[in-house]
Amino acid sequence: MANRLSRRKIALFVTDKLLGGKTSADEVLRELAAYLVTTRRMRELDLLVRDIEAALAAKDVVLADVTSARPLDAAVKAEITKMLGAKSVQLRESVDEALLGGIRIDTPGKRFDGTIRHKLNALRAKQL
Amino acid sequence: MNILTQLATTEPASGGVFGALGIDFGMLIFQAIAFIILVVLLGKYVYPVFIKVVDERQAKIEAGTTAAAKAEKKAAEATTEIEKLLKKARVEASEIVTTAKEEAAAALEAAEQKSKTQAERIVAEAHAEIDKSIVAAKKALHNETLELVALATEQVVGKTVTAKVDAAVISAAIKDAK
Repeated sequence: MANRLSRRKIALFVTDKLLGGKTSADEVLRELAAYLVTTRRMRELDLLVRDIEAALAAKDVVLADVTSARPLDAAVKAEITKMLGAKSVQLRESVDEALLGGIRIDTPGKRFDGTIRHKLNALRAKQL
Repeated sequence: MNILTQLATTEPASGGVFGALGIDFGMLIFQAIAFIILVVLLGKYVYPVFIKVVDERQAKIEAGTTAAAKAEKKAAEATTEIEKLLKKARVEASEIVTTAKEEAAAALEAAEQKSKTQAERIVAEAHAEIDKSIVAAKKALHNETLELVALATEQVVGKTVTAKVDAAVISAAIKDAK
């Protein structure tokens, strides 16, 4: 059996493939899935995805998870994209009414929480 | 005895001064000798016994007097000693009373001080307990207020936030993030 590749190396390889443009994203992901199955490393999938996102962010390609209480309009999305300030920004949107209002943005290694729920929780956290 | 009677009844000799006075010279001598003999006998056999008895009595009296004087002296000494002892006892008693008073005063003062300290400690503890309770009450009030405010805000915001308000909130949040 070949040397076991580190997760970081796999993430960098996948990132290069995705950004290289020679191979389609679907094909890259299929290869990755096949590799993980073959090497019995499926349990590392979540961590590997996070590493890939971090590697993409390092190359100025940001994949951001945006959560809000209501669906976002185009203007807000543009504002978020501008705020993130990356060459390429992809937003993964989700709606959570429990947030009451505002927005939460998760990028690799960072989280910005501007939701009303977060502010209320912060208020509760000030309890003595 | 018969001789004496005969001498007494003898007629006085005639002549001389003794005769003129009616004194029988021979009888006088005889009586003198008898007297001397009597005196000698008394001096030899009776007086010594009397003198001895008298001496013994005198000695006894003198001894008694001496003993009485000694007893008196001893009594005087005893009286002096008793007075001395009484004086000493009075002084000691006075000292004991003074010491007892001082000790009682000191004990009283110590007890007062102890009571005062204890009272102050109890008051301080009570104050501390009250302060603690006040702090706990303030804390509880603060926490309950926060919780109520959070709950109220949640309820109000949940009903009042419209899409427009939400957009404004999001814009403000994005500005904060920048």
